[in-house]
Amino acid sequence: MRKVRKLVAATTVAFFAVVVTALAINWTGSHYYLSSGQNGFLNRTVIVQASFGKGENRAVCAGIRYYGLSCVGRGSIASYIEPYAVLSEPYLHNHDTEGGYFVGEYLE
Amino acid sequence: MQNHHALTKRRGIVVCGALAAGAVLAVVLLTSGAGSSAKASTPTLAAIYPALASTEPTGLPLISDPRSTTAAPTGPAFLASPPTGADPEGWPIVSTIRKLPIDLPGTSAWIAQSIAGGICILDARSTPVNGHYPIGLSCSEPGKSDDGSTLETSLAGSSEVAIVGVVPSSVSAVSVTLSDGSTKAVPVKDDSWGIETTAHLQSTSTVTGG
Repeated sequence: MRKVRKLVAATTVAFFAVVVTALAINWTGSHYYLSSGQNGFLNRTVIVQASFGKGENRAVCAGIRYYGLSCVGRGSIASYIEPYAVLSEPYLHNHDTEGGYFVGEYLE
Repeated sequence: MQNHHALTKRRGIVVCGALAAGAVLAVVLLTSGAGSSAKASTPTLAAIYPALASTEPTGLPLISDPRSTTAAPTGPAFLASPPTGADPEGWPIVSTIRKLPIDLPGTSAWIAQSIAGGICILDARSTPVNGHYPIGLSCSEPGKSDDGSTLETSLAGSSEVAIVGVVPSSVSAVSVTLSDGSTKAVPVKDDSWGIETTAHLQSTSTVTGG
């Protein structure tokens, strides 16, 4: 009985570990506000292979600092990809005429 | 009592099996994109965007080991498989990537179908930045793939902006309004258009028919 419980617990931990590592890193949370034209930075250097940005009905740019950025209109996901990962900082830019909320993610 | 233990043990094994199968399935779907590509690979999108059916070489090498330190980038390249955790709505099915005939001196562009079924545009500059050739990518929401997709990219330390887009084959031209107040009529060739400028994109409108 105890063995079975241990097995279930270990498998559950392994399951969530796999699922958690399979997600992109959300660095903004879900209510990250930027004024029109404002940048938002991660504020630390990481290994970054891709920077993603999506606005809540807002145009957005996703960038990798010192490399560049890509910008999209409302409703699309902006991605800026370094096929060979670099040591840098992902950031977002509010590319819209209005302030709004954004989600930023990056892949290591 | 023994029966109860045997039943509990069997239930435990079933739960473990289900969790393990779920984990394996999650990894397979997230890394291959196969989960939604079946839904996405309907012929509808290729009918709207004939450029997706092009047989021209992409000119975009695929790399399978992005962590390799021996391989130095010599030009734009893309990842052979989606990175773990890539959003299916924002990542292309690599096998659908096709080169676009955008005639810009410093920018190349590609069209692709997203894993989730939207339409994507990718671009890259011919000039490296800090020794790298980043790729810009924009994918539409799956339900809005008829609207096309637009992408604006800038390189660090440069004032030049590349604006590229894909539109359905029924569109013959795109009117582009820029942040400096100017408006440019840009012809569409094989579902695609593009300009290089120093102003940012403000809005676009499409002209249909020939």
